[in-house]
Amino acid sequence: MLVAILLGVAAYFAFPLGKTNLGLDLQGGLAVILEAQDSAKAPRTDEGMTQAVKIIQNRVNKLGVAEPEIQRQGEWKISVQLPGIENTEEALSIIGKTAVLEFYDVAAFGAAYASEAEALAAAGVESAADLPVDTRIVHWSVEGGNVSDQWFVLESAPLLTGSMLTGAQNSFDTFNNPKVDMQFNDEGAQIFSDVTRKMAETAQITGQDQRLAIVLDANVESAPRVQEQIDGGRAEITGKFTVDDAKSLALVLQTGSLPVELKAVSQNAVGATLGKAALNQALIAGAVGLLLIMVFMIAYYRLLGLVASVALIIYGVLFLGILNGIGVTMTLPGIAGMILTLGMAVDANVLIFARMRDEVAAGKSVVSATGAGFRKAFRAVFDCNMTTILTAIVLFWAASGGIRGFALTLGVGVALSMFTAVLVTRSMLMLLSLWKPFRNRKLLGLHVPSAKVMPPLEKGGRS
Amino acid sequence: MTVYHFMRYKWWFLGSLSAVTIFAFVFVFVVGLDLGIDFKGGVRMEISLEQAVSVDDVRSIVTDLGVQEPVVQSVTGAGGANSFMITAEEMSEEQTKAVMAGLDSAYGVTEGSTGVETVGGSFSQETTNRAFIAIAIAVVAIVAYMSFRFEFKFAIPAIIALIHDVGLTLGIYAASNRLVTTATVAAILTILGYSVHDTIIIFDRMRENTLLIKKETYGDMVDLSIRQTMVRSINTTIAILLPLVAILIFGGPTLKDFALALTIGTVTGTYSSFFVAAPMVVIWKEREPRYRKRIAAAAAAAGSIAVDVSADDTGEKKAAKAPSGPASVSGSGAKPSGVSRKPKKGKSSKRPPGKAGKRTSR
Repeated sequence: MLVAILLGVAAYFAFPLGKTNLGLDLQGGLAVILEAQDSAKAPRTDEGMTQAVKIIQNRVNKLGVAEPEIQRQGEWKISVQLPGIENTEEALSIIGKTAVLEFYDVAAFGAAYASEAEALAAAGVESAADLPVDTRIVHWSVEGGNVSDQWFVLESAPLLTGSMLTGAQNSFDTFNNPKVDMQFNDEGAQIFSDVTRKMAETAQITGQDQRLAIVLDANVESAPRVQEQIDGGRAEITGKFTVDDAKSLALVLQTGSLPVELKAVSQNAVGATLGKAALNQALIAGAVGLLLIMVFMIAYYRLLGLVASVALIIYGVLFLGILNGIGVTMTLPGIAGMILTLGMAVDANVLIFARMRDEVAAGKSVVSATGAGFRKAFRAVFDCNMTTILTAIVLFWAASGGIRGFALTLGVGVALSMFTAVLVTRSMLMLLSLWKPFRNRKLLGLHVPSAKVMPPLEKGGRS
Repeated sequence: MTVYHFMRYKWWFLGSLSAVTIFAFVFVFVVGLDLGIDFKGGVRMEISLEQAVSVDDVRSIVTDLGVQEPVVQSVTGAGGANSFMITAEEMSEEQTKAVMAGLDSAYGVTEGSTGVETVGGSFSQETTNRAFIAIAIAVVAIVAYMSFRFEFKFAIPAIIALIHDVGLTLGIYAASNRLVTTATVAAILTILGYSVHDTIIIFDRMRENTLLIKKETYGDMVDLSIRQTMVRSINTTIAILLPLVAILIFGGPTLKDFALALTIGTVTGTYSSFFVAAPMVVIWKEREPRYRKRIAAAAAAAGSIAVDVSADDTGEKKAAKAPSGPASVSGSGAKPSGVSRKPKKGKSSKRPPGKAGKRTSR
């Protein structure tokens, strides 16, 4: 009765199967693990990580991805899952873009170096990570006849940063080139106004062009001449970008720059067809596995095997119900775990039935052998399953991503199978025991050729 | 029911299986495991082509684009047979794109059938460390659980049987140059948990039979326990192998990876329970005074020349290995082995008749 109710509830959750959340490996999409980089310039902080997760969420939402999953993983990692994303490069560039926007007076640029290495040497450090705070090396492709790449060492703080922006949009300039418009907040607008006023004055006094460099991620995007004071907190970046570039830059500027520098340490892009094929293969394997087990059980244990097979199906429905009920995302390794637990679920039945055979061989009636079989086998069943559950727990703790799904289905499945294989089969056998053919040993697969009768412990008569 | 006297040959089993295990480990350490990108970093690409091509054709396209030492495998992927898995330790994004474009122009890439997985160096290092830690914790957990449920002398043999199982699995991976992935490690952890099943089934019966025996040697009791549980051990193994075989036939590359390691581990896990775990318990247990006495008694009862039973350990083990009388417990059949049969001296059929003496006394 209890079983029937549980089954009903489980079936409600389990069907329609379409509700099951499929992992990226089954429906296609992009999974990335980003790790925060630690440097003197941008030390990673806990707060920064929390903020970064929010910003990425923001960016992903603006990308229009259905059901994205952005989670903090461990201390310095963020896992981003974007189902159904086809253009992985674009998505990655937007998610991971630090977009550190800074404004510098070109007058502060100093000497130019021909390579990054030279600039680093001039700054007296070995790598960019060793640079002191407020010192940075920027790259500038100066266009003049032929393009020449130059590197500069900047030792002052930027005049303005992207954190003072309130908005950014992509649009086109008068020559129909893509550009990005930006609006500053009050503080930013004030500073921008001051800076441009000073530069315009200097230009008038010296008669030389004063340029304001707009630096994005240590790259000079553009360096417009400043001819007059600019009020109202508006600025624009024109540069050598395409419409898509401008769009993604505007998006990134809008959502704010990431407070920590993130690097993709692991990524997995799965095509939709590939995912679908993997799902089908897994389902076929599962169905065939289930069928094979049932055939084997029925062939060997006859009616008992049939009971075990029914219990196995009940197990399957309950299992799906539980997984759907708690909203587990099904991944390929998770399905592997499920298929595996099918075999483990009948394990307990094999042990119990073998015990029943022992008891019947010892001369007990079928009914009392049933009781004794369950009782005696339970200890071994329990111990067996406990070791598997223990390893599943360890695996769940140690693993990440898909393997975690395997550990979860394995652990939950084994625990659940103990319930179905013991309780469900038992109650079914209890009911069946009222039925006459049930006493037929041959039908039950409990027939032991009498010549071979060897009770578990004939000598146990003493006990 | 015929009781096979495995325990008489326990040193043979232990010896040969130790040799197998050592051989497997030699393979692992000398030949080395081919660690996948999960542990070394790199790129793994799965791609389905529209035209039939050979692995070599695909490999030459990949190497021509400057990718160093790519591993190209044919797999059953989205496009059926014409699917390939390309793994390389170093493959830049440009190279990845170039490979795809190259394959597309040459053989046509099925739309949406590609998968690219990239793992960075630092991340893979962490994965490796975690894998080792996880395996260590699992082993400790199993020892603790077995000690708690049985006794310490049962736990260690169970673990040694596991070392055999895992060693052999890894050895086969090393010998066949299969890539070890996180799926493989997950499978090995599962083997750790699952291979103990059969060991537990036997140990459970031994635990039960220990209370019932009075005079039999420990080894004979274990033989009986093995015989009593052998069919069910094999049946549970079949039950678990059936879905694994289904995966091996129908599953995709990731699932196959799981299933292969698990299949090897499950098979070894079954026989290692009989031939590694149980013999070790016997050896250890027979050092205990009460079982020592039984061996001595059995030997004496057989009227043999076993005078030096208590002299040294080797003597005892030999004695334990010595054949026992026919049908030690069941009182039924003949033994398969043609060991010498001593006349019955036992008092009742419930007790094993006297043990035969040692054949060798060294």
